[in-house]
Amino acid sequence: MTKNIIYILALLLAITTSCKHADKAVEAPKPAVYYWRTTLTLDSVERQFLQDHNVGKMYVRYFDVTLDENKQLQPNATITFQDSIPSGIEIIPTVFIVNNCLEHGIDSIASLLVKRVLQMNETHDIAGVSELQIDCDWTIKTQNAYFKFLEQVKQLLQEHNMKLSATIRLHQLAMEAPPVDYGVLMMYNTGDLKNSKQRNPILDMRDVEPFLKYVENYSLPLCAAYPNFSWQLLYTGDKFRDILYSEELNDTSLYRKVAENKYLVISSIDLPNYLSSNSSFTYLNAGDTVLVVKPEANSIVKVHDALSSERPGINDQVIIYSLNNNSIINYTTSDYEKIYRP
Amino acid sequence: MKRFYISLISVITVVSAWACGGNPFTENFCHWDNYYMFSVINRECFDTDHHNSSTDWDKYVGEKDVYSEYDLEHVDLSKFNQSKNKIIRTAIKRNDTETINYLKLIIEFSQNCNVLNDWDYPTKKELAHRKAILNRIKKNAKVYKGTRYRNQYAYLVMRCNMVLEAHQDNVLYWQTIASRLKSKNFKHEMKNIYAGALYNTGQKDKACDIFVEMGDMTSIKYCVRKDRNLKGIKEQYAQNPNRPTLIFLVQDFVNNTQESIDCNYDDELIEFAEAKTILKRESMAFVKFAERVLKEGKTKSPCLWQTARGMINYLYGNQTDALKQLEGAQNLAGTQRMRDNARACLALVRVKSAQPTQEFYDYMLGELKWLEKMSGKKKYGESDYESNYFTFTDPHYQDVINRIASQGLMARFKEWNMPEAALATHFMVDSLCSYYDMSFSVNSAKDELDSIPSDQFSKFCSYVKSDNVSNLEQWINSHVSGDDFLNDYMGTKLIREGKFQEAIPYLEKVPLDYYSSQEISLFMNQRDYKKERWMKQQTKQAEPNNNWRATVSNNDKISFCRDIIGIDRQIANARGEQRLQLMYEKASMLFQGSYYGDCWYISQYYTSDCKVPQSASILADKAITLLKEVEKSTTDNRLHLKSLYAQSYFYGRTDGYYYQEDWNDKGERYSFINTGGKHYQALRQLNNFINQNNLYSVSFISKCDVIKEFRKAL
Repeated sequence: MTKNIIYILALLLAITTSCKHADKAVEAPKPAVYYWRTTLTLDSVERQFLQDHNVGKMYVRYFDVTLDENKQLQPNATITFQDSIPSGIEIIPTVFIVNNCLEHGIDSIASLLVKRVLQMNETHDIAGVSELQIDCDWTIKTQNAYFKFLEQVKQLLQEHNMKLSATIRLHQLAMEAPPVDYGVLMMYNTGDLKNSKQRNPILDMRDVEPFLKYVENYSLPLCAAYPNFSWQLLYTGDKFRDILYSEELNDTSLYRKVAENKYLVISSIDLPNYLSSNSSFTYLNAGDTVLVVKPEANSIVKVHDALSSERPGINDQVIIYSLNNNSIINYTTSDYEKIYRP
Repeated sequence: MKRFYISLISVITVVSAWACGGNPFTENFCHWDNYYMFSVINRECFDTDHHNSSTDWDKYVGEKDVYSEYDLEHVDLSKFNQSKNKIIRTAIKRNDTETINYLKLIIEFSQNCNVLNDWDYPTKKELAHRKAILNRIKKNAKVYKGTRYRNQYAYLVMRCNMVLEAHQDNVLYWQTIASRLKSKNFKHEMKNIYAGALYNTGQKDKACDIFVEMGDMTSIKYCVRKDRNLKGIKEQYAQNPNRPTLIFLVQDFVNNTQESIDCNYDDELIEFAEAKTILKRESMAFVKFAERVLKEGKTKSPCLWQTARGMINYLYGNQTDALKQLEGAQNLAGTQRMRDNARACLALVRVKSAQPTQEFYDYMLGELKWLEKMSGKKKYGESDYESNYFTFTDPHYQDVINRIASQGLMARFKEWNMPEAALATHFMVDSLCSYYDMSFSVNSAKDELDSIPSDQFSKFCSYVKSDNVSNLEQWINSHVSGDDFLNDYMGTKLIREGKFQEAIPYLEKVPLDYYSSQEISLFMNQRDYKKERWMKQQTKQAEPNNNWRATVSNNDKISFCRDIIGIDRQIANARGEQRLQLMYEKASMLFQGSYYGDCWYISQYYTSDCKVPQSASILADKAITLLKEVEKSTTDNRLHLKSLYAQSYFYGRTDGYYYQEDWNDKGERYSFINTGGKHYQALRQLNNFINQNNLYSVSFISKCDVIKEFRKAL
């Protein structure tokens, strides 16, 4: 009898726990990736990655929303589709909204944005889309406008039986949760580029720790996104100057490796800068250093496990940022397996 | 409508960007005077060869600024005849069918070329329709048989092909049609699209050669990003010793070496990495390779290689070899720009080992005049505002003047014990190389002038007016602004040094018009040095129509000197409290006329939060000494209070605020009270005096926020 009571209690406990777990995790979780380029085309390395890790969802950046010179909200850097998506992979259109847009009547574009995403799906025969994700680094100042906009988008999506998710940055955990169906906790770009000699600006447990206390009770279902990219950071002395774009650091006439992940610029050179709107060139001077930063696989796993401890279920769905042959090679298959495990 | 002049970057990179091309920056990052010396590709030609549509349409309409891409893009073609656009109205009025047809087609193109970033994303059908429209526009453009818009239509064909990603069609179209067009209009733009099309059809080398010919630096640097070293140069040479791309790579190599040496970092890391040794090894290997190239005789531009070799030798201090090689380069085959480059480089090298002989003066004078002519400095425009600004036909030669003067001539003059000539050369650089009128502006030469005392400046004034100097010096001196500048500068300098009586004769020679032409005129007209700065700040009101100069009716500098001399006489004759009151008034005036006062223009030419000149403290120190004396001797509580109040203001301004903010190791901002600072000490003394004498109700004390906050912080 006592044994039976214990079994029943244990069963009840299990049911209660699993229910709580289900509330906090993302529905229908699958291994996932972000795709963040302006042209959708997959090479063999990328296709193999999708296959090897049974990737079931691709969060594809469709376009950005930016302010044009007349302070009008405008789609920008719209993706062009030049390749097919491997069958069985669900596409989640993702739209990045630059924070300053939120102060310029963002609510006026809710229907334009939804209509645009739906039309892009239709034009490019992307079927079975059941969700839209919005990525934005909103702040306390822009929160009201952003949330109002999300509510409008959510309502519009409901007419098409679609859900809405949003990215959540660490600092946003301490704020009210946005009105969406679930959040993706971004576990990258957690640090300060200006301080990257002390800490890894992509992901560092010391930057994550202060926010862990908010994770358990965060009111939205959550999944997590982890980085697989690296950065080449240019410094003059201790001053951070720029991020380089896939520079060939093994060119010994220009660079000399002086420490693990650290290169000295031997000969000055100006490199075309594709990522900056401020200047056409990045000036590297003899004596500058380039720091290659990449989180160690075990650092990512450590953060992964810390999140699981705080909030079981958060890693039921893991998204890798991003699907890109240059980044994929940064980690081994076994590393990815560890990061992808729930 | 986007700008349809695009360089390679916009066509091939992953990031969508419409590059304007060009290479505006040639200034070395390490030092202000480290301009690149080596230039065999005219970095300006890419931008200056643009065809300017605005000018065409202005001419057509007979008005200025009638053309706007944005306006044309938003013309409703179904209501074309009702459009208010000036170009369209003119064409309709003239019944100019040819222009009307062309306008309709380019408007339609602009409305269909970039639909992927509109809010209304096209349907599949619309995409197909858009493609059909672009193909139709292309077809219509191709069948144009006239001559007036022939190049414009050809350009339209190529833009359609580009948007349709029909790169091979563009290759063919340029080769068979566009390149053969007689008019130059838009050919530069078409050639650039052609180069992009070559790149996109796998003909990178050909594309790159064209980018070099066009001076499209952004595209070149993208194209050859893996070849910008000796290994790359050798590989390119092996393929074809006369490839235009090689010209860029050689130029790039020399300039990067110059910049690396200029940076001259001497830290442990450089030493540890043996960076300088590696760089020198690579550079010397380049010199050897250049020798091989010259020996093999396959190059059609030995002048290029010989100059490069000479410049690298010069950079590493091999002066004899450098001189020999650069002298030799003058007579070798190459383009005119290559020979000009060799001549400019030789001038730099010759200055390094020059002696003060008439032969050198003659040579240098000739070269400087030639460089001035080559730079092609001219006024930006004719209006009052525009005439203060300048443009350069070829800014490279402006850079060359800068480097020759700042790294050669000025140093030689100093070595030859001719400091005045060195300073005058600095003025010459500012005058020849500046984009704005130096007479009215702060510049680096005036900065240098600031640092020398008045007796040295007096020598300088005599020197620049002297006829008893070489022809080179006379020419250099002619670039130092005239008598008014020198007299005003001398007078102002003497005021700054507290030599008021000596300043007056100089200042009296300066006409009021001179001040009216300067921006300080606005301050001169509106501010009063007799008002106490610590009681109220005087602000500057804009002149009507936002004028940045005003007509001056009194020379404040002279009045200031006379008032100070006058009050000094009164002080000498006064006793007791009256004397102390006069001393307080003098302190107040001195502070106002100092660098920190509202009337700083009396003793300075500018103020800056970044750089406080050494001489800033002379008048201010005199003021604080007087205030301390007043505070110590007075028995009048109100004067005592005012002198303490003035001191606390003074130290807040000159030594930094007592309440300070800083960043901690964690990168967090924090505030603290600097109890050891002079501002804190002065405020504390003031506050004690207020408390001891129950003076808080005195109006200027009770209204002062700083005192209020300080009392709270205690």
